[in-house]
Amino acid sequence: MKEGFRQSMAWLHTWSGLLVCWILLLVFCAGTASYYRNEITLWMQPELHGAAASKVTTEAAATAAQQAMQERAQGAPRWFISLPGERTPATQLGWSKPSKPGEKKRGRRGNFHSEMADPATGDVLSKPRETRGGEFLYRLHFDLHYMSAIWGRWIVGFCAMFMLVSIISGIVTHKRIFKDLFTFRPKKGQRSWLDAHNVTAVLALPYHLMITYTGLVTLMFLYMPSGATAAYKGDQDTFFAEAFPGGSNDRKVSGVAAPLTPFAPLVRQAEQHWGGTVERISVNHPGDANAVITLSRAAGRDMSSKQPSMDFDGVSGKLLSTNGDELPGASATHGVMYGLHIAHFGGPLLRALFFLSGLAGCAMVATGALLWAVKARQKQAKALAAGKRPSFGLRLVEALNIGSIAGIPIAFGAYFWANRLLTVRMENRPQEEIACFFGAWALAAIVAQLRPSRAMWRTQLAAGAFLFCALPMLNVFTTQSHLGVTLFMGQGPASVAAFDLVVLVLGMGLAYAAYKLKPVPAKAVKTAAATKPVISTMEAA
Amino acid sequence: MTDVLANFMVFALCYAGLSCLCLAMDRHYADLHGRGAEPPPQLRRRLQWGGWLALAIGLAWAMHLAGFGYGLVSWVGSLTGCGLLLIWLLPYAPQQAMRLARFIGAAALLAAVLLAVL
Repeated sequence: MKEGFRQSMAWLHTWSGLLVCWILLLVFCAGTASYYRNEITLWMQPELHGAAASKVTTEAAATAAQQAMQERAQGAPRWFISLPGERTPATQLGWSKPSKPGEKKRGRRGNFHSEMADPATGDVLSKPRETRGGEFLYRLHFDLHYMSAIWGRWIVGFCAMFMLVSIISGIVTHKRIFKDLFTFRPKKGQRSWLDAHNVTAVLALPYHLMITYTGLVTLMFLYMPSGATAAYKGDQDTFFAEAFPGGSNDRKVSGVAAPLTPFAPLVRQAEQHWGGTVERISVNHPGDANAVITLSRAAGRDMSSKQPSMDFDGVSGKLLSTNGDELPGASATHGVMYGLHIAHFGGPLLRALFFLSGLAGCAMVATGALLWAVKARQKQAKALAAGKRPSFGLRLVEALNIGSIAGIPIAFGAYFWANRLLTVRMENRPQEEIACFFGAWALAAIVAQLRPSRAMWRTQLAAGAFLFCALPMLNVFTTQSHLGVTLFMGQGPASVAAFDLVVLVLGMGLAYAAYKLKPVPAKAVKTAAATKPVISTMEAA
Repeated sequence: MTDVLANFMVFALCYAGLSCLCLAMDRHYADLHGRGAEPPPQLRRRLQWGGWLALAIGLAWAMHLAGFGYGLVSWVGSLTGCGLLLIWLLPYAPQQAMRLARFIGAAALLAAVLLAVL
């Protein structure tokens, strides 16, 4: 019976894993990159690299921001200010434009103006190139793309559910989880792939379980609405208002003009109260007697994703209310789970560990997918040796493996290349960058379907390796903040230097994989010839 | 400086601890000392005790540094990182992996002394 149970679990593990592995790999790659979403965005806006070097206190930045807003955002009903922090270089100023009477409402985004300002002076920074930066990768992680967000979330949630099934059935199947804990035997074919799959899965198991489970929790109100629907009798608004409490922002305009109190003392008071820094300041009805100033804390004080906020009277500066200092149990639990998933709380070291574990997750999914193909090939070894062609399923899986495992790095590389090579003032620039991402990926995936061979593996891995390794070089020609400046002259934002170094290391990893696939001598010439056109099309993209 | 030392100690203890536990296993002991070699029972017991002790101290130290939740998360993360490094080194350079463990264990002791002094 025991053997039977294990075997059925092995079956479940194999198929639940295989079915979703390609989308999961995309989700894992994008999610892992999202740990550095701010850094990626900064890297993709070289115009801001200069501002990143200057450091000012939150109080000084708040004062400068207030001055800038008073000059530039006259008459706006709402202000939004994001102060610079460890991971964001510039102050972000935003305001909704006053709607003219008789004008049609233009939706939420249409009336909104946003700009980047120097944290010390409040001056507008030279407008950086438009890009979605790391935000695109973050959205891709759970919304996918080219479809409505809700559909994307359902698909990702479905895959995550299968992932959870896979992990648990995998634990049951893995007979010697402790005996084989440190075992990796390279150069032994299927054995090695299995070892690599086990090692990346078991060593980062706490991470994999946590990230999959908390991932489902982040969107649980979408996947499992019944509890809330039953308890609140379908009244979603009340539920969300109670689950995610806001503050006393509902004061109406009085029509009496009154000057806004300075931000700096409020910032000091809030920071003393929390023992953490202020990240966001929003003002309702600035310049009115009923103005309300809301300060929100920056992440990093505790694990929860829910950051407390404080409301102040905009004229007298009196504290109106504090929100989220003491969360009820369920809400606090949700906050911590969400927080663990997005890992905004961690310092650089902890974030690096999350990133590493994320990479282990990518490797686990990739080796799992490869393992299926290796095993299937073994089963068909006799037929293949007799000159028969691989079965349809095997061919399909192998092609999908190339298209995703080697193709996704190509897509990432193309995205970053596009950011540097597209003309800076291009119309719809963010969309064009994203089109490059999917264009390059689609090309890789289609070419892989046409000829899923060892040479194709090598070609695509080499293309990905080239795109990644050459990025720091490309920076030399297209920016003022390349490694020569950021690292060797020690001037520039460390995160930009780190980005260059990390892509270089990842690229070298891909290059090593391509090197390991070196063909038997007779084919060598052919492969080298095949590599070039693919790379040049990537460059063009 | 003390920050770096303190964080380094979590890593060092994790790596040293995992290496001890690894070396206490027949297969990996044989990797180092030739095929068929088994650790003498006394040594095995010492390695196991030492390994678990190092991991436990690492956890306690991480929690002391950053509180229960943070400490736990960073300890688990360090375990993953150190484990991957150890497993990667083992098949290619087993002697160096163990030398690194000895070195890093000594460095952890040194770091502890330094931290006590500073």
